[in-house]
Amino acid sequence: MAVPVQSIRSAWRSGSWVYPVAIAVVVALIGMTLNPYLLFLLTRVVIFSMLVAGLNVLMGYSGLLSFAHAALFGIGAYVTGLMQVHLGVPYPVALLTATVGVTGAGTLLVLPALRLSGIHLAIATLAVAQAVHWVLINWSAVTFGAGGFRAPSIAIFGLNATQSIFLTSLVLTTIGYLMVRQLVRTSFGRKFVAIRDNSVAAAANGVNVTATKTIAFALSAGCAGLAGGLYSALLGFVAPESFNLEQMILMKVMAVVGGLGTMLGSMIGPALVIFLQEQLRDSQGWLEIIFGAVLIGFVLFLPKGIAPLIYRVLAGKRTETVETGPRTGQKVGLSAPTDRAVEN
Amino acid sequence: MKLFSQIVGVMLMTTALAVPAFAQDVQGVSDTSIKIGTFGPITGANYAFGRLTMNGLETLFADVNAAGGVNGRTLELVRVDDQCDPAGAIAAVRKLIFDDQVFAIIGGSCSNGVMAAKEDIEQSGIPFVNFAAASNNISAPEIENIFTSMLTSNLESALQAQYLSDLGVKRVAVVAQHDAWGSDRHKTLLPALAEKGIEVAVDEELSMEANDATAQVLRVQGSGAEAVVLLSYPKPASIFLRDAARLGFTSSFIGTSVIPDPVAFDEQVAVPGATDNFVTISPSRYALDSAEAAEWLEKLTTKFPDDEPHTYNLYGITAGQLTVAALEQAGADLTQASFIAALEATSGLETTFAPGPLNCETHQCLQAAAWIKRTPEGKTEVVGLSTLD
Amino acid sequence: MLSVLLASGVANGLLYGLVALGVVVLAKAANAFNFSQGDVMALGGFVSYAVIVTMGYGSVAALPIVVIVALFVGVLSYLLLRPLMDAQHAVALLTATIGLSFLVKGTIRLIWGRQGDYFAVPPLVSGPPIILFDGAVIIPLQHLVMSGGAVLMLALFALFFRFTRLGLFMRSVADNPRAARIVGIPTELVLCSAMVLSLVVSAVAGFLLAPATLIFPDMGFSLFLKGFAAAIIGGMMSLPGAVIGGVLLGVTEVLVSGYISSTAQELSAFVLIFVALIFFPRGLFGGRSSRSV
Repeated sequence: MAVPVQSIRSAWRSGSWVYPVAIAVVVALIGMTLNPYLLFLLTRVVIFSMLVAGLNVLMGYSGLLSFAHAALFGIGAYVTGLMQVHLGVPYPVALLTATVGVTGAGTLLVLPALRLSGIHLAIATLAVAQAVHWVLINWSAVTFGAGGFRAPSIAIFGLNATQSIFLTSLVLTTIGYLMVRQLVRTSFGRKFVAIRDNSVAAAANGVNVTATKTIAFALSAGCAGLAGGLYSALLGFVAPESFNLEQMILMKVMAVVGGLGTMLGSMIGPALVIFLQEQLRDSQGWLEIIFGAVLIGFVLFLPKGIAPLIYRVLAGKRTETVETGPRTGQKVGLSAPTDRAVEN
Repeated sequence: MKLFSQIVGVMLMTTALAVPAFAQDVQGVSDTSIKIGTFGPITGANYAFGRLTMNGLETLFADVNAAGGVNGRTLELVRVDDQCDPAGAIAAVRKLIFDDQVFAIIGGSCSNGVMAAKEDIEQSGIPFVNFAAASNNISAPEIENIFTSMLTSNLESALQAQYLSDLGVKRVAVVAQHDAWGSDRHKTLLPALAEKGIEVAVDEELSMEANDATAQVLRVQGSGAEAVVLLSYPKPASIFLRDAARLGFTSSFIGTSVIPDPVAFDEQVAVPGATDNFVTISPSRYALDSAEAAEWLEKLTTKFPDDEPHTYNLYGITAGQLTVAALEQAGADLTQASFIAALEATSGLETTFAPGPLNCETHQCLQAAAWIKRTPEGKTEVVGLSTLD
Repeated sequence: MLSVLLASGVANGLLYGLVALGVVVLAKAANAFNFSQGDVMALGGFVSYAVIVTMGYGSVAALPIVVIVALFVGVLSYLLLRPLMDAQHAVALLTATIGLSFLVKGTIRLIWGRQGDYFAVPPLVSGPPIILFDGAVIIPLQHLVMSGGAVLMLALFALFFRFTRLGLFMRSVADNPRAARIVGIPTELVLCSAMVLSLVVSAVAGFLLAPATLIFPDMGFSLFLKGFAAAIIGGMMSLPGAVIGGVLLGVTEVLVSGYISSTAQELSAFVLIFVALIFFPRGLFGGRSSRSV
């Protein structure tokens, strides 16, 4: 992992971390003035941003379709919570173990990904996710089964639980965001995209497809695991239904709405979806229909999500979108991948 | 580290601002109205537990308001959808407390949701009456501001075991769905059976997704069990009874409070005679088709013409009557503390549908249940009310 | 015990096979997958409930109405998704069909959601079950109808693909879309019919299944998953493979449930999917490879 370390060092020197950190500080300031309800929502946005950033590495940059993220998120939450409950391990240690563990578990998912692609990979990961869900429910001696368990919350600097987890999540998400962003901006990111667009050509040009896919999965899973660990402390209660397929689809909606293949989209998507979800809390049944319509609408008409629009508004700032090869929707132009690239 | 110290500085600055403001004398209470919040699934797969119970509660409130309210104040209900999701329940409860600033919360339908939100409810000290969630862990061990008017899973299990023991059953089969509700019931039923000296012959799972219960029926049939406890929603339970009828397996079938209406259930099973030996337990002593419920049925259908009437409506009415009685008891000088004290002091309160008087000393106000069966003529019949010996 | 288990496993499996048929039709002709298929299946069940129970017509009337509704939904889905129905957009299409699945489910809930939690549809035929070999095999008439319907659909599909022009077009478009377009095959028509056919077969599956279970708005997804598993086991490109895959899955489930543990039943489908994908990526019965680099 010498390359990422190097690139982080160069990012540090280039000062590209200033904007995100400044935004994080502003968010922190705003967050501390919010009531517990709004702060809870904001913290969810922060945690899901980390998760979606990871999902984005997989879906947006590498073009690998995974349905296992809710399960990885869940494993992160369970490991963090259970280590504290069963073993009395302090939160930071549990969180770290969960992140490392989920990174490992997620890396294993690359095994099917090396043999399968497109929908077959998606279905394989879906089967894994359902199996994980089954284990969470039925291995009740350890996981407390379908009824879930109470996970300890955290308190730092004498703040209340929500404020503590909010700040912790914000700091870790900011760091995670900067690291992932740096990685996708460097040669690694280009390798991801190359594999996404045409893995044969990428391999022919000396990209180590296996290694790159493995890193994409590891990185993505690591984000999910860490986010899960934070989520367990936020909710204070861990139960299987927080990590089911419905949640997985919610994450996908977040990624698509924000913009696949953009880092900014990973922040906007969760914010918009969670806002919409709260607005529709008393919509009497329209939630599903609206979500369905939003998903189709974005795929058809705004395949790059909202992020590019924002970049455009921000006075000609160079977009961070991976310009080549719009994956979701959108007719492919001259610079496009060959038409066999996606499915086969 | 710069970022970190910055954040710490910011934090220290803003903690002072984060102290909640106390705008009103008593949150959610004005001279003319009392704002009460409710949460549960209003949409989605589990909507019946939430929306329909809320309908009952709201109908009762409308009834009370029409008669002049409580101590001159009308009751206003704020509904929030939690979609049966733990994070949704936390958001819903916080929204009610901090955004809508309600006086009390009467709600909660999915045990995992209520369990997730329990810490917030506990810390805020807001009076809370759980009206439909079954888990015993919501109200036990006792917490000052948390009450329940629903049949708790512990009590329901104990009453089922007692019923089986009274029938003289020694070996029983358990068929359960392994979701949050089912496993909570399962966890409480096994010790209750053991206490009565009843042996569990087989313990089968039948999931919501199953469209076939052949294997489960055969295993139960081969186990020599004298009765079958169906810890499942109407769908799996009816699949089981259909396959039992098809395979010629008859036994005593014991249902749970999620199948409180054996007539509606018989229509779902839709095999003549398949529910003849089915008896179920309910936190309501009258069925929807009874003469006693007719008046309420009419009010419910007038107020909510789009929603099919359901026994869950009645649980909402019970919770509402408990709330109104305690509000009256607390008097015109209403505070959250006086309301909680009034709830706790509730004793021997007769309500329209609860199978026994409500006594809230232990905060688990309902201590009785009704056993209900379908008559061959297709009416419901309450075969007995039971309390724990 | 074994014979009873096998009989019900086969009946259930044929139903999975029907869903798998819908999966394969779309995969064959359009190289696409549609997540809303399971929800259209549920819709088929709800429409037949509306016709049979609410309006009081017989099951004979329900079938054409279910087919018409499915045709309508199919054409609508095609018009909506047309810009995505090519190879570049496979993943985008999949995402859009997830949206479609929400739309269909939400609509079902909006129409029927308030009338009750679970609905029973009366059996298509009534009468005592057929008892063979002294009660060793008991086949309820409903299972027989279900199985018969599945077999009939399969036969119709096989004939369609082999002998009709449209069927042949579909096969050629699946094999090589560009070449098909060059030789003048109406690609649009082929893609549209594939989408419509796949949804019609799903809705008919819903119609056949409804009396055997209770219908509720969320029933679709797990059935789609099982149907998909069946299609994968069958090799994704083979119609008989889909049905055999379905039967294999149905029998595995019921045997696991009967002889190992009913708790393991739900898991068996996922294990089977995973094993099939990893070790038999071409399915147990061959078919085209879809392996990547």
